[in-house]
Amino acid sequence: MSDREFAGTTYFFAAESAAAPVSESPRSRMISAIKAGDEQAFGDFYREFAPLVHAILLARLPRHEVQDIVQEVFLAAYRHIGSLRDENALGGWLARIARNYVVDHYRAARPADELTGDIEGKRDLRLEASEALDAIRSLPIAYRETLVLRLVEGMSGNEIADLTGLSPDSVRVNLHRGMNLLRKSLGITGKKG
Amino acid sequence: MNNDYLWDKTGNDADIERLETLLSDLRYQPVAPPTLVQKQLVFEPRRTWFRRSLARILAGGVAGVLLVGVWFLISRRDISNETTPVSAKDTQVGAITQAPAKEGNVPRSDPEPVKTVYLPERKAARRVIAARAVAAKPPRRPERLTRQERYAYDQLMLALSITGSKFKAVSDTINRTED
Repeated sequence: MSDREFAGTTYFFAAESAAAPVSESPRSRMISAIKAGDEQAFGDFYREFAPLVHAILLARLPRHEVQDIVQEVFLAAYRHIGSLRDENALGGWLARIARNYVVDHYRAARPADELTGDIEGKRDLRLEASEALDAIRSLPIAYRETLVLRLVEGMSGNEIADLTGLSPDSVRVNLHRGMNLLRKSLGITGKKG
Repeated sequence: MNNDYLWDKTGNDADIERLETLLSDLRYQPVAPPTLVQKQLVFEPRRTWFRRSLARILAGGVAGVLLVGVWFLISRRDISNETTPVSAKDTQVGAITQAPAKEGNVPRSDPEPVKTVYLPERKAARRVIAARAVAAKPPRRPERLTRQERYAYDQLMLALSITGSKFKAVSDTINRTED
């Protein structure tokens, strides 16, 4: 969102309290700084949202390619940050860039299978992790991303809602439905620990 | 199954905890953010203002054309309404009039009423406009020539008559030759 547009959206409030300047949220300050070319702000942005992008990519792409693409996604986001209109939708906007990157990746990439833990000669635990990840990847996309954020990145429901821009209720529904499907898929009975 | 654990990690759920442990190896490992090349600091300029002003200009143009069109139609309709029944006065100038046939050469100033013919609206309107245009023209004044102009005019006429007679002589000669 350009300054002019932003000024348009907040004009009403600014006119009411002309003496007191409109208080910017930390996130909007960060975005303004990134637009101004502040590398420190970009670093903060990267650290805050890298797990989100990582989870979105991991839900779709082979593991060994994810890290590089995370960086590419952030560079693309940096180049196009001028097109961000709603600063509150930063997470959703970044997630969309990441998803587009996945589409481009599949369009351009040669078919390749992910190396499993078995081929790499790792322990059974690694293999089990790969199987669990495969099971998550077989779920509908809405559940897939939310579950990766929860189970792989270790975020709470509120953190997921805050980063993705989804409502907490939507996240809760996605988590529970996705988890039920995952349990069925992995043959877990759902016993309390 | 404990829904709270799934939502905010309160309580416990052995299955989910196990899955978390399994999948923790795949978790994002923090690395340094990518280095920004100076070239990337150039942002794409937004052209919203340009698109908006273009849209406004286009909208204004369309509205203007519509207004002119409506005005034109209304004015045309007014003229038509005004002149649809062609009056006796108008018919003397331009409309088709039918004078009594048997009377022959009846002068225009004849007091006998002239039969009015109702033309289609547009035709009548056009005739009335033409008639008004003719009526509006100022009467032509007789031209007055200066002495020099009069002399030049006489000379021109003389030259034309001489040329004409010469042409006639040539023409006669040719005709005779042919005979």
